Amino acid sequence: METADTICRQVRVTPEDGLHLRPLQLLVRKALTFSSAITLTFDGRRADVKSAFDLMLLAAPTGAILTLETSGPDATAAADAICELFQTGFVISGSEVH
Amino acid sequence: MKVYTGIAVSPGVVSGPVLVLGSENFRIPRKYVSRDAIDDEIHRFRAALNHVCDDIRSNEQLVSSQLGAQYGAIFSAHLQMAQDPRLIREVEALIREQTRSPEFAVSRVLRSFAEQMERLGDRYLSERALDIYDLEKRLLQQLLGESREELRNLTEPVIVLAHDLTPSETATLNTKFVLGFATEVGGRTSHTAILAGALEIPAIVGLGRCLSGVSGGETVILDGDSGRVIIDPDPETVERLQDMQVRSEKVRARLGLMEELPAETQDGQRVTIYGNIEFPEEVRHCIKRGADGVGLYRTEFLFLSGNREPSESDHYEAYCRVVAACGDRPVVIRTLDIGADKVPQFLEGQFSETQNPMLGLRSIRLSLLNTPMFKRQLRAILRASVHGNVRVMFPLISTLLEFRQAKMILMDVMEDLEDEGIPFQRNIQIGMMVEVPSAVILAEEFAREVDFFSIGTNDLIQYTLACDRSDPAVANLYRSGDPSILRLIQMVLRAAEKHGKSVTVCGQMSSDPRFIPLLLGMGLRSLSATPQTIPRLKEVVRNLSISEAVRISQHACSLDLARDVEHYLQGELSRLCPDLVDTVGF
Repeated sequence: METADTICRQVRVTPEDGLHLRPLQLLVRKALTFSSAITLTFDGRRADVKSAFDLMLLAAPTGAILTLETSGPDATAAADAICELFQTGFVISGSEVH
Repeated sequence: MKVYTGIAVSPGVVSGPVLVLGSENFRIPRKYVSRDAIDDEIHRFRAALNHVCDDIRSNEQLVSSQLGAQYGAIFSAHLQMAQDPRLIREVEALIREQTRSPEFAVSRVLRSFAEQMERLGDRYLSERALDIYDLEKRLLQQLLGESREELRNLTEPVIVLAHDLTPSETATLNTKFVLGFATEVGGRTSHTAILAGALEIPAIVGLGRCLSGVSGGETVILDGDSGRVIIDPDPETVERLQDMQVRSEKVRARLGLMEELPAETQDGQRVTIYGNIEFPEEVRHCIKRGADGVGLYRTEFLFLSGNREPSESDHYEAYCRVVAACGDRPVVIRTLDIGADKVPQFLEGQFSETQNPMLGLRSIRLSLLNTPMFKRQLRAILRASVHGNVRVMFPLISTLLEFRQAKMILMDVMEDLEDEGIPFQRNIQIGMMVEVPSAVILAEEFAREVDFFSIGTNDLIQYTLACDRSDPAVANLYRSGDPSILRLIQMVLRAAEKHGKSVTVCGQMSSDPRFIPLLLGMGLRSLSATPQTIPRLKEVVRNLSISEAVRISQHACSLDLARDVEHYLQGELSRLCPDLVDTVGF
């Protein structure tokens, strides 16, 4: 459902091995903290960022540009948080692991 | 008639009706549930899922507390998969909309994920598919209560055809009814393969996809010599099989006599032939065939059979059984040699997601990083040393420093035992495996510090020719007859001779009769082989003279190509022992 709270942005995959286990895990964990629907689209395929399987099957390689869409009550915060992960290259600070 | 070819890992030819084990050896008892039961079935699925999640969480906590949070994170990835909303949605939709059973639905959904991932052609992601199969297995285990129902309730002889068998499944096969087995996956050095040799039933691994074409009950010929599985053989083939069985029976009877005879060449040179073993029980296979002792006792099984690290007494009891059975014959105990291909659960966290596991944390490297674990094993070896002729051997040594470190830790353990007044053999022989080219290049230096060398050809070939033989695209590079390998073995023999140290060759090469004349001609006087092959090796030794062996090795070493070397050796062997060659393979 399109609401006023739909945000659409572009992000770039920076990790050396593409969107692999570690970044993917951080994405899912982050996404689960928001109630908005969060999706990434690449090459015509759309993945629910709360689903590890969806993200794996997206198979986004390094350098790929993905379309991030968030929609729901906390759409802006969610988009910011996901963008930040991509921008910082998924660097994990100790506290973020658990 | 259909023929599939895989990797022969345990010799012998058998025929019988086939028992097909579904891809993960779980028989899904029913595909549909009644419409009234849908809510209950969904509830059952959720309960199973919760149970699996709890299991993963407890693994995660254990690893995090023992090794640090970054290792526990590996399990949190597994947990994310188990809790994945897409998984839950698709499984529940199949149950609700198509009245599928939870077992069927779980298997269907996870397999479709895994297949899609495998199709992406990305090596990293195709390895993740293994995690998905693991999740499927855990869930089915929960849903079905127990596994391997068919394997437990056998009442007639069968040949088992499975996608894969775990080492524990293989170890518990009822050899009264299981005539042989073949699996779609697996490599020559996988644990399942090694176990098949130990059970002494014909076995083939790495057949590739073939289960879909077999429904079970068909007649199958399994040829553990040539690696072929023949489904629904035609009458001619059956006749050929019977002929061959008659011939091989004769050879077997003659080889049976070898068990009593010494491995001595025609000109009176005695050759030492040890057996390689994995389990304490196998020591009797060695003794029965007149082995001179155990040249390679692999200790990994202790680590892989449970979810916890083996205790000192687990080690000690296993070692004592082997040592006692051998009397005063040597028992060479190799310390833990585990790599990324066979990781015990309790160590999983230490392995990073490396693209090159064979070049990563494995074997002695792992032991040196886990000193308390390493010490426990060494204590047990030392304690067992008073009961017989025990030698200790470190695997995968690549630098002098590693060998010195390992030896230093052994000395520490000796000191501890001395303080505690526990008896051990102080002058125990300390040796190393030569498996890395760097160890060959520095063989002279190593020879000053070791008591003995044991050349592990499997890894040496892989590291020298930079090829992973489980990768079919490059497996043709993996050849024992490669001139570079012959040269390396000569280097080790020369260095050892200069310093008066002994050398044994273990690994597949020394179990292959073709290479025996070559190795003896190069000066080797001791080998360690799969127990089953010992009578064959003895026969080759007894038909040979050292001068002939020298001539064969000199000619073989003058050849440029692995292919030519192996072809030449094959020819020499058929001249020396014609019917030995004739009956290998069907």
